[in-house]
Amino acid sequence: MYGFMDYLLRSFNKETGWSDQNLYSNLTGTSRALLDFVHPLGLHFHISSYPSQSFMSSYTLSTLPVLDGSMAYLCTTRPLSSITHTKHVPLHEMIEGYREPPELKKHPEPWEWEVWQNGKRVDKKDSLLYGRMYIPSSTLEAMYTRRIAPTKQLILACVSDTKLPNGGTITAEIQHDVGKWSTEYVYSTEGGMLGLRGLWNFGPDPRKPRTPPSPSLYSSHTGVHDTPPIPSGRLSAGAEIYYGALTKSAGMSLGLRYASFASNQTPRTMTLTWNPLMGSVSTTYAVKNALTNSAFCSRFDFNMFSYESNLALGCEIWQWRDGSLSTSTASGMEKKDEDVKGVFKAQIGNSLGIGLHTLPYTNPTFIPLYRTQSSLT
Amino acid sequence: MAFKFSWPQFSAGFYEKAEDLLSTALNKGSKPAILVDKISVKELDMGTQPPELEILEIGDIAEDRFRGIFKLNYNGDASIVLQTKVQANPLNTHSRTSQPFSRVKMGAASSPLTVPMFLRLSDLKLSGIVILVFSKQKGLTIVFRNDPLESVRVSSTFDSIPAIARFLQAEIEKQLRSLFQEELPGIIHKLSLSWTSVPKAASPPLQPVKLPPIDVDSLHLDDSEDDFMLSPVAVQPAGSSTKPISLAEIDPERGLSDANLLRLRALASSQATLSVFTPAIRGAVYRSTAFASRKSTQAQPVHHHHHTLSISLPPLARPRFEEPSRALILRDAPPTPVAQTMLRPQLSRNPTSFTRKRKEQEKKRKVVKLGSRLAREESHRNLAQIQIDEEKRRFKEELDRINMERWGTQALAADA
Repeated sequence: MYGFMDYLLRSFNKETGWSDQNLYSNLTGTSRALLDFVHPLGLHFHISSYPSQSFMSSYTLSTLPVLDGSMAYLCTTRPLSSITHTKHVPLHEMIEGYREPPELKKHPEPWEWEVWQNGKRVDKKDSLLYGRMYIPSSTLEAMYTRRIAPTKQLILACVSDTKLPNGGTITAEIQHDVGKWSTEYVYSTEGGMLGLRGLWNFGPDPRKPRTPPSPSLYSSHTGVHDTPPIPSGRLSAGAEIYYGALTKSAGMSLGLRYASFASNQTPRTMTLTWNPLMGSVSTTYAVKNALTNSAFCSRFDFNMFSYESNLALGCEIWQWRDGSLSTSTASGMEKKDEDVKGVFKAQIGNSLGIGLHTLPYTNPTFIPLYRTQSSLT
Repeated sequence: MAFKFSWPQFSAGFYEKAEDLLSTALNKGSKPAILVDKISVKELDMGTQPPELEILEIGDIAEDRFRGIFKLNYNGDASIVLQTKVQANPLNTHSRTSQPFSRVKMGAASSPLTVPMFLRLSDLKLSGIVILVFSKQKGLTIVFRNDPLESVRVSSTFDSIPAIARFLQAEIEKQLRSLFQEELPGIIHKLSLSWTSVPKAASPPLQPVKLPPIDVDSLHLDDSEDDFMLSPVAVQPAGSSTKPISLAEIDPERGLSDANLLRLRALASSQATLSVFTPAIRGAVYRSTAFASRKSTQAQPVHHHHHTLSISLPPLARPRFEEPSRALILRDAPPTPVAQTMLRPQLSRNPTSFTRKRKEQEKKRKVVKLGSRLAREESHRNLAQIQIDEEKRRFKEELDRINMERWGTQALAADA
């Protein structure tokens, strides 16, 4: 379940035409969303408001285990026109679930963004500024995002608290996404951590125009046009490497993902990640049933050195009001969010225990504010 | 007086209980993030040699209780084996301990790998001063007055990696030092609870009796009527009828007894506080430097006559040199006892004699116009003199402090 601020961040990304699905840090995004959902403890109360399309605020209050609250503010240079009142937000945008691989599109050239007026450049880069203050513990979280180029984004995130060593940490990240490949450069003051991540997508390069194949001699004989096969999925490979300057520690990992497109009946995603230094291998398999809008996922971890293994299973089932599981009504029309009765998420695994997460969707205005969950671990 | 140690005869029950208590003590407090499992004692061996105890002072001896200060030396072959699990992936430790909002998002690079580790501590060398209190009803406990750990050999499953071995050696020594100071008294006390009391002739480590935390009431100095001055040391009237004699007091090798050293320190420190009580030392001859007292009588401008009372108060610690005239009044050298007894307002005295003394002091005063060259020269000279006195005083204070530290720990131990 995304909070209001996460929803705003994703709206900003959508508004500026940036997709963070093509980054190595989200290689296992689907399995993490289906298997690693967080169980909040206690009762949480959120109130959010957006006085304008560029400035939003949110207040939270939690009662258990201790009473604490927070205030958050967000402002953007680009007005977010897609955000709406709670009852108009589509439910699938708020529930973290199966993530389909985005279509790789070509980013505009840098000169396409230039706006000139009277001989001077007047265009401004889009940026977002976010801050959250936790009231009893006096912790401040802040984030600054700036789209410095059509293919580059800068994110600065910091936490400030007197109880932390050095008063807090700042993490800076530059994401460079060309479409065919993407790289990320990370630096964090905590431990002097430097990181580099890269992802390569196999398949056609969105920057090159698709040329129709010239009819060959053979095909003209048979009379059949040789169209290139439409790819049913995309294979991506990536790697990451980290080095901690203060702690003299290093680490790396390699990853592979095959995701089939949403045009299929049952889109599926398979990932494999391997840490050669620690000898841990992790494989996931997620499948979504487009008819019923339900997703299932499984993950198997194995460590080659310590022979520790872990299996986790998770599912997300949408319940419709008329009792059926299908996304289309009896008359064949697409079901809307009002027909959703609830979303049921469950996970089970050795280290996860058993977790159940039900979101009854009784009244559209209440969904982001009310949820029940029970977990036994 | 002799102690008989029957060291190797520890029962299996003792070992079990000791292992339990040590495991609990080691897991108390915050563990470093690299340990992912609790620390448990796998093996405990008390060795064959008992520790050597040398009596420094005996505070309280009675039929059913005993209190003393000992010098403890241990060079035996006791050893202990601990087991725990460590996180071999430093990036995993980094991810776990960093704040979630600004955390570096790592994929499989932070996957955990736990490795079991065995740690063996042997060749323990202890040397320190220990207060041993034993009471038949309440029990036995040992408290270290200083850090007793001299060296310990740490060997672990990571001995083949020198970087980790060095890190472990440093960490374990640090943890052991805090363990000895804070946890060991409680452990020994709890161990002593589980057995019945045995006559004192047997070895003290096997005599466990319940005991509340250390109380400082059974030891006091010769002159109990001067107890108001010994504020850092809690002195209370003794419960027992015996008057303890501190060995340090009658030690011919030391020039001054601890009690007198403490009184001198109280006297010196009383100058630095605003306390109106000046401790008097009986049977002592006060001497002062004539130059300082003469200078003090000279440096009294007229408009400060209402501050004659302030002269008897201790001078402020930081001399202020903004105005030369003020600096003359705020003397840095502590007024010597002679000057003090002279200048302290004594209500029992005849007020006329006091004013007469003041007039005498005024007569000796030179009339100097402020701002004149003579005044400036004199103020410079006085300033220089004040600086010299200040340095002398500081040097003396340092010396006193060093002496106090050297003898004072044992003196404090005597009063504990």
